[in-house]
Amino acid sequence: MAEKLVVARPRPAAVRWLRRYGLATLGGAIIVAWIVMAVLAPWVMTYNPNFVNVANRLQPPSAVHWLGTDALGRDVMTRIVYGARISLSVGMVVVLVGGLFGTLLGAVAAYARGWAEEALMRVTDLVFCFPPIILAMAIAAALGIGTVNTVIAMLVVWWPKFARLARSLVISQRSLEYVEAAQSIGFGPVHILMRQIIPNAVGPLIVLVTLDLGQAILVFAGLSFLGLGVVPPTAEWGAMVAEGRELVQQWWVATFPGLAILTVVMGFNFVGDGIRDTGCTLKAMRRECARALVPFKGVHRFIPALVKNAGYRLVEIPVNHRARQFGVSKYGLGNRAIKATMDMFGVRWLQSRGVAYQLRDENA
Amino acid sequence: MIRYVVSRLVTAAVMVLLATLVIFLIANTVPGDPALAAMGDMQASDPVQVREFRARWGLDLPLWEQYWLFLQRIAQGDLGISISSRRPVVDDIIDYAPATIELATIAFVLSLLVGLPLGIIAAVRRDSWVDHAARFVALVGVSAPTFWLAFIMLAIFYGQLAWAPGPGRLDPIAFPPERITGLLLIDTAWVGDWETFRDAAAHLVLPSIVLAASTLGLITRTTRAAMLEALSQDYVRVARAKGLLARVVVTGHALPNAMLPVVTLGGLAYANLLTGAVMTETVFGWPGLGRYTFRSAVAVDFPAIMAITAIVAAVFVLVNLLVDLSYALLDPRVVKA
Repeated sequence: MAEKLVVARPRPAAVRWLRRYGLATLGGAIIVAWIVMAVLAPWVMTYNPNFVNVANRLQPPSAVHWLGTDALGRDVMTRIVYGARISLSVGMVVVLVGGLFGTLLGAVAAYARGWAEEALMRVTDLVFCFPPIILAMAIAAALGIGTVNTVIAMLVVWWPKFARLARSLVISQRSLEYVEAAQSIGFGPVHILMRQIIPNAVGPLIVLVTLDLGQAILVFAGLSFLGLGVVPPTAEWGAMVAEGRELVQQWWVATFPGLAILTVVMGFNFVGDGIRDTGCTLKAMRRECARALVPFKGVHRFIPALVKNAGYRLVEIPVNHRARQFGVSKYGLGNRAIKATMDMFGVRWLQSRGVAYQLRDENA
Repeated sequence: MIRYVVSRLVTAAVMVLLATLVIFLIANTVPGDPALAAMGDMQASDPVQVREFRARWGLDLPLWEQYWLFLQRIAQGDLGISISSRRPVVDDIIDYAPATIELATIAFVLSLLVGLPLGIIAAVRRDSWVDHAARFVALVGVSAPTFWLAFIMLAIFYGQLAWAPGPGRLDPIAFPPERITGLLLIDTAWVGDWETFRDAAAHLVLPSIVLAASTLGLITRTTRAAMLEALSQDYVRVARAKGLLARVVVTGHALPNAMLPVVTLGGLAYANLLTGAVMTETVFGWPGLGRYTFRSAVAVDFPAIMAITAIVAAVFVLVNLLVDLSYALLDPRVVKA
């Protein structure tokens, strides 16, 4: 019985690259652009974000004021760029500090087991069952309004998800053989946790951190919108939307700050999804990078990979042509290189002839 | 099974109590004086009046006694008297809750009706334009700030096009129906007042779409991921090899197995909608629990905050319990274990 590799029209290399890494790159570019703008704000922007000029109020977008002016005649674009400074830094502080605390707590809980784990996780559950915004609202209202107080309020509610994730990761890791091996060598618990388990379990955490940065920015903007974030003259996106909320005719006042939030959060989501699609572990990320190079695998199983690399889309791969795990071939590196080169030429030849590639099943 | 439910309910009650304790401690340890917040500037400058005020609301007792009082009253179904509105908190909540329940339920149903099919189709037709469109919609839904989305919707559909009515639950000139459940749709339909019914329904359209957006994104994403996972399993291949219709394979084999994460997330999302619609309610002038929470938080209104916390915690714990119980229905393996 003859088996057939079903080969479809090749996609251009650029399209393939875009499909795989396009969104993540776009997200990364958005974030980098915002960070650069935020850092360079005082040098890039010609207006002062808090310069009030009532005579110039509510000007629509024009060449002078690209995104118009608000109810006090302040330049909306300048304020958005300055607002990026607050939003981005608050997001980073909340997620990094809260994430670090939660991760350590969860990891220690999972590693300690027994009553300590129970107690720590019940506390986590307790905080977890509040919607963050309500608790943050109560705290922000009680502490008083101000950026630092809001950050504190957000930190109080931010860590539990990290604690839960870290705990489940450590639990799934600690029964694995390498932990046992490390214990038998005589490493202490701290060393095992910090140097063995955490590096191996860090993938999903990286994804959560990325996605959460967007979420933190969103929540902070929300609190500011409610008037619990920054003190009024400060330029902040959520507060700016709140200021323009009643101005339906002067839509630019509220629309553009909202768009700023949307793009930043989407950027972080793109990057987070991109990282997650690689499979969430450092090992998988390395594998993803290795795939971009020519893979060295067993000869016959190697053909589909090459067909793919040559720009064809494999619609269906017969079972005995599935790619093997990378790096477990019995062939030595030199062997593999030679055979790989031969295969590569084989496929190039197939390509130049433009024929569908057929293989005879050995068992037939 | 019954033992399981009872033990879960007991745990739930303990969790709710602990939650109120936590919020109680937070509210009391942070600076912020409810007496000063509730009284006017004139009164607050008079120490005698301040002392009287504290005595009246039990604010001068030691902390643990205040908490004990709170527990005693909660056992009698009394959640205390709101400092800012000077009414029993229970009455306030009964007033505000129906608006939120109505809005949250409709938004939730909306996001399920759109999100589930979208996620399923996206997974079945992976990498097609439907998939890309679904992912884009989900992403925008998750990333767009609710308050901004609400503003945009209002500006376009109310301000520019005048297709939708403005903020609020009813037109200012409309007569609200006699209160039976407080859910306007049900109340008006009960009396047969279809004009007001239509008005109430029209007022629900924009806020429920805005509120549904983020939930919709989450549900679409989760459904898609779970369906992709299920579709790659061996039993799906077997079902296909047997020659079953694609429709049967998807809805009969893959879908039930993909439901667990969706149910978990859906439950959490619904609880979140019930308790956390602050932004939407603010922009749409919706007299719901979210606004009430916000106002009590800003006024440092202890009794109200405590009562809301208890309710929020109870809603979350109960929804979680329901989700766990539904596992048993969805996945027979859960019961055996």
